Amino acid sequence: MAVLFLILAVLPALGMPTAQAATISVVIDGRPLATDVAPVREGGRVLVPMRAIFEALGAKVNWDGAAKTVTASKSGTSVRLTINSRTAYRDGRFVTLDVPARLVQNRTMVPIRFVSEALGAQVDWLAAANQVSIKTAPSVSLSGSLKLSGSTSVQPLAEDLAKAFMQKHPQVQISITGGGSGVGIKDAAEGRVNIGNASRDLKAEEVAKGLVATVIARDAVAVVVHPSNPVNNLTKEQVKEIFSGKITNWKALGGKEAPIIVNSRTAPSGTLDFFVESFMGEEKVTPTAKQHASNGLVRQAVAANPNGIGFLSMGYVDASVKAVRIDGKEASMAAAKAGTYPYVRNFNMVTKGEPSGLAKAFLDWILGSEGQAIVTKEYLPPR
Amino acid sequence: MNAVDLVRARTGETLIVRKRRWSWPAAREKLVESGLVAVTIFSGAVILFIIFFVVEKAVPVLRHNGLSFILGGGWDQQFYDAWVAGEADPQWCFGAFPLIAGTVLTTGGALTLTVPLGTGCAVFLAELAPYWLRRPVESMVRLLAGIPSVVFGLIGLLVVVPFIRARFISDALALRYIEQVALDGQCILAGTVVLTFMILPFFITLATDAINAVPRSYKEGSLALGVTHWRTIKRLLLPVAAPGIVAGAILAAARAVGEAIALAMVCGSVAFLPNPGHGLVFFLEPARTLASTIVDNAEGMGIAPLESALFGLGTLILFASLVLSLLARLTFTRLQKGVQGR
Repeated sequence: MAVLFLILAVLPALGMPTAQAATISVVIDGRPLATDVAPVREGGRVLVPMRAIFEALGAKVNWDGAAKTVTASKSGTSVRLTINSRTAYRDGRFVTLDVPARLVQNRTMVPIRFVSEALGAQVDWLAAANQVSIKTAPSVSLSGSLKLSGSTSVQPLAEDLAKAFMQKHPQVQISITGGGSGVGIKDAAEGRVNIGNASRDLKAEEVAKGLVATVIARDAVAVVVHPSNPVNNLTKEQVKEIFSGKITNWKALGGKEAPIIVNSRTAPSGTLDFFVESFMGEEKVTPTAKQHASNGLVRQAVAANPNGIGFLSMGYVDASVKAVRIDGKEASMAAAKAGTYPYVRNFNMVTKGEPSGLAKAFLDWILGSEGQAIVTKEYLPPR
Repeated sequence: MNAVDLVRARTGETLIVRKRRWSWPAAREKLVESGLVAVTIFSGAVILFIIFFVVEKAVPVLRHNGLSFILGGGWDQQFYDAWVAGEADPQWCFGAFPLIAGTVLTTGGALTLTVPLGTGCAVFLAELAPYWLRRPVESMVRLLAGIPSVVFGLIGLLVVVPFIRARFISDALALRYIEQVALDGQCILAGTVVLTFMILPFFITLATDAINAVPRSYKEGSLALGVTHWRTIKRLLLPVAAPGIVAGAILAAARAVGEAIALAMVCGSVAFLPNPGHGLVFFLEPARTLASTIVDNAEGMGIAPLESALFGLGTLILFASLVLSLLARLTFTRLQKGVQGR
């Protein structure tokens, strides 16, 4: 019985390719793709000869006979597949395939949807016509330069995005500086930069000046202490009392008998705005607080002082500091993604007027699948 | 050959040339001459322009606050409030007294350390060091003068500040003062130490020059009378060189007043007014100087009240530098007259 079941289960899979191979056609940007071995359908996936598809997509192919591995690359993105292996790599990150590449009539056949999408094309399966329709991205060559300034919270993400974008478009130069959200918004308003980075939303009077904010990601804000600090959990009320200078001894919070050294940010910080809005209510940050011009300096100060406390963009939290739980809620990007950590704010890219030209191309790319793949590595996608 | 002929032979000038109304060499001379005048006037004009520009920008904040800009406090909160208010409801109230105090304290502290150290070093270099040692030490001192201030700041932040925190600031001590000020190693002591090493080479160079400038006959006369070398240094060379040394100290102070980056890094980024009532802890308290405040708060540029306030600080620095420069010149001539009259 079991053997019969097995045969029944395997039969269709073996039978399908031969049964339907002749009828599948592939069309790339309206032109039919000619292949010496006909495309086959297997497990709901269409496989095509690799040479034909990669050349049609304009990718360079590299075949490693010993490892039975094919690598194709096009303008900075690459895919790597191994014959009969379900593990593939896209831009160095590994992806599991439901149908692996394989040899058919001595030709290497690769799953068409995976390789096409990996190389930036759009794939549609027209079931009625038994046709795969591929639209390659228009290969406009972007060039020029963009200047960004502002939030040091947004900066690391913006730098990652800019790096990938410049790799894709080698003619594009993007330079990014810090200064704080307020500086980015002001620079954008006064035309000193093309895009101002802001980790806070625009105020009404800024919108009135014609500034437009594009939300590119969301980020959490964590309260951090020195890793050696025994305090792991604070209530929202305690955070407020610490930063307003009402609680000044770690002992009151379950720590050792030691002063609390409060680290804050300078006025243009969007993280400070968000922190004050979320935690402080009507209270002001204590005048004894150290004022720092960037997230990096706050992290450095807290990491260097066992009695320090500060607040950081979650993107800056690393092993040198410890993010405390707030009201028992774990403070991490994972928790923020799961929706259990509530202190989440928008990352904005601010332009004067609707984005246009290269700035628009950059923002569209960020909001597209490639940009968001980078965003969601460490941050939350825009809502 | 008489003198006129000699000059003619040397300069290639001939009678014919002198008779001509126009000639290229003469025109060139005129051109260069007027060029030099123009450059000189231009430099002077630039200085005047800078003073005018800075003071003009500072006028609104000075007018709003009057004397309380110099005597009042609360800078950090005022700056934050003015930033948040933006231009919709401009806030003009600023008080820079803690910043002025921070500048005076760090500069004064650095001078107190620099003058004895530097004078000793200068005496050694000018009088005691063997020739083979003098050259390398002098070039080392000059090299020290060329190190960018941000490097001093980094060393201060990574070496001096942690040292002070570990050595002088216990949790119990910090706890006692936490209501008023956070003690974490960034303090006027750290600022003073770092600033000392920054102005020391500058001062040593000036003081060495001053000692070297004492006429050789003075020293020879003293030694010939049987006065010991040490006594000659103490009673003759130093007093005669004093005007130059004092002027050097004042110029070093002028440099210290304008130092921004390094002090922003080691002095503590909070506009706190150190309290002498705290005894020795006074030296462990943070402060921020005028110049480092301009660096720390530079993002305020573009918002009228903040910009004006920053230029107000600039005016104070400019004023202090001018006064110190004039003072240096004045003491130099004064003391020199005194020495010569003796």
